[in-house]
Amino acid sequence: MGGCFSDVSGGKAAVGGIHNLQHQSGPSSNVAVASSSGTAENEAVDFFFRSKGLQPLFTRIELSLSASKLRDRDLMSKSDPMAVVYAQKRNGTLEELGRTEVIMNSLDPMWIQKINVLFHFEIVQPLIFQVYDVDSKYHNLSTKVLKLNEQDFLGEATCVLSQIMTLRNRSMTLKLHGKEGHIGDFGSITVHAEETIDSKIATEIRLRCSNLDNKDLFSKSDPFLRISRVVESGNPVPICKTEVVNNNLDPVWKPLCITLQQYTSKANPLVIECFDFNSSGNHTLIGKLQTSIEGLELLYKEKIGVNLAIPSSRHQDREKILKGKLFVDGFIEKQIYSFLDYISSGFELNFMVAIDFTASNGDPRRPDSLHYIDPSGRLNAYQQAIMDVGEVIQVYDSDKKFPAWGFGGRMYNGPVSHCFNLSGNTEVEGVQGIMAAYQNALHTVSLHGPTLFGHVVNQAAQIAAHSLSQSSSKYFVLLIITDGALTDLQETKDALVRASDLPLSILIVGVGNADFGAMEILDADNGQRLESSTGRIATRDIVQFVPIRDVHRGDISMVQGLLEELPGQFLTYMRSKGVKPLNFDGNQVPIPPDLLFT
Amino acid sequence: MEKPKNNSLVLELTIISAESLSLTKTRPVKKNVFVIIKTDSNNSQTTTMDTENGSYPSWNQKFLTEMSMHAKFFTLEVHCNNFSGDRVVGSARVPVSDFSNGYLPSDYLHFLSYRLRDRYGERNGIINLSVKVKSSSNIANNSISSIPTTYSLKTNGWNYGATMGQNVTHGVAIGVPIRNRY
Repeated sequence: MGGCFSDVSGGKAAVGGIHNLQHQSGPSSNVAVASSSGTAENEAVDFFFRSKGLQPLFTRIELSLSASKLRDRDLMSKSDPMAVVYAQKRNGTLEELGRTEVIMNSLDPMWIQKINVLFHFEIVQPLIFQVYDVDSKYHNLSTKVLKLNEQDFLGEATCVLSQIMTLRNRSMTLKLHGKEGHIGDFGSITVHAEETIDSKIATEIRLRCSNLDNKDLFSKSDPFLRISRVVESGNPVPICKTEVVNNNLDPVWKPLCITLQQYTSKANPLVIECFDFNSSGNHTLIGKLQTSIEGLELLYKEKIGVNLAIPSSRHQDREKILKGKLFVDGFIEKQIYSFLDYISSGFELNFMVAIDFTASNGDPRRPDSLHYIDPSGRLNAYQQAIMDVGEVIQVYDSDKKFPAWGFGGRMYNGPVSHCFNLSGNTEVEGVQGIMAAYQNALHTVSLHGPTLFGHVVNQAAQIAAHSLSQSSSKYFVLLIITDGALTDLQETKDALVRASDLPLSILIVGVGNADFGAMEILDADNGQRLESSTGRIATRDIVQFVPIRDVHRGDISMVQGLLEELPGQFLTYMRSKGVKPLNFDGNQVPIPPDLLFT
Repeated sequence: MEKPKNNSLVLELTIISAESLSLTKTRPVKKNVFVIIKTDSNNSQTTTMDTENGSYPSWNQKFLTEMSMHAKFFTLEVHCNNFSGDRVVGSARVPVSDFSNGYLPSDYLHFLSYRLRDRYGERNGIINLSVKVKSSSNIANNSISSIPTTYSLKTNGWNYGATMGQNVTHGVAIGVPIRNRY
């Protein structure tokens, strides 16, 4: 999920819109967004299971959260709450499903960021909701990287998903309690569940206001808009807010992109509220109005403004019409293409495999080596990784032919090579082909060093760059299986930075128990972009690191671990280059049967 | 031979944004930030001033820039205008090799980011830009004999540009109209 920054400038950023990737390269902490990569990742995992002939027996659910009367943990101001949702697995372990954004200075927050859950009809799915007060020193970090044990705990609540789903209004208010069931005045959390609609239609709207009332004493108002969808029962659900325009009574906001998923239907009533931003979190309502997407479209066509109103202070049921007006300057309906739209319309993922042949893996004749071929047929760490990973990735590769390389090995009577073919051919056939080539190479190549990724990354980058001159519908994934003892981190960074503007992602699978610190740096998940020795910075994050020991410990499934970032990286590339799915006519392109059942 | 003036590269540059700019170690840039693009000591272009986005300015401004075929880089200077006058916050050199790489199609839209360094060489933020090589003018000059590559005509919208093929098949060149928007 996109980072939701919560310092003052972060609190002023937009939340909930689909980010326009056209001119946005690389992560920028300037804008907080709800990216669609979360759903893309689910979709990719889903596609994998369907390709195995497994029918998904679940419905996608979106949870909207709000809380009231939370505890106040900040001395000078109010708490800055963030909610985290966990699913309790059968063995009692918790799996994190998602985090909301941080809302500043509020004890009654209404979070905009939705949490996606799969609802399985036949399984009891206990959910745990925890609320934390995020300390202001963490406010410029993305919520994804926050360590929860460093935050103040505000309370938790538990319920079973089917409990919410069977309620008529699908809303449930739970009393929060402390850790170990400590009961006290912790406030309550309200969970609203809705089925998500799979849709690619989104509407980009440009909004502006004129003649707003001034709410600030010494300067002008700092207005922002919050759009909420009216639901049949219960309170309106906030779906997005714009950024704050400072000190302006005629604000023009950046284009806002709302998906059909968020507004459900064009006729569904929406409430648009205009607030004056206050850093205390107590935003003052300037005015509001009720309309719908249809209504906004009409405003755009007729080029007229509509007056905002404010509930009258004397008569509860009356509204005072204000002179402030809302205008719609732009209204475009467009398609948001998903990862599967590209893949099913004929975009190809091409995998390449590179295996670590350095001496740090241990002598392959000794049983404690990661490269030891057990005569009994038990798979070694590399074979296990090739099998596990290969099974997942070959689903996405249409021709199932992989270039297979090794690095850090010394050829028979030759020099050390940092990128050599594992077999006589440049490409091998299927997972079995990789396995055979790997075993064969162990006989002919002696393990050496140092561990350099640069050559294989450059080789992969060259293939990716070369393919661009023929077609733009190919995307490449280099899979590096390694024990992680990297000799030259800077050399690898240089190669990765050069490759970061190409249709290429790099999956690093770590085997063994070495220190993977260098790999975590390459993964760049902490928001630090890779920097080359010449001062060039990686355009986007292209590396995903998965240590296989995490997988075997059962923390994450192999499929999830591998496919977590790939769809997002793919989409970032395609959108930034303006590449659209092939022959896309707006209708759902059916997945060809040969892709589904192979 | 061609006149040296024609011996140049036309680039479509988009200065997108910059990130985490500061004036001193503890003082972030507040406002009034702009970028100067310098292709050589005589030629420069300037973006508008960003007044709203503080130390994360954004411009999204497009430029057509001509630079010499022999130049190895162009320079980007991020300036900040405050009460004490105009000062350089940081600068970065963009090597030509980063966007005219032999393996990539010549009309590829490159998204590039660079580390900015202040006058003492200290790191100060990042600049994001995109570069597209519009044409190299010696292609447009129909100098058939001197360039042994094939040209393929590529039409995208209103822009006619020449694309260099990868392989040398036959020595025929097609005169390609170049529509430059200055």
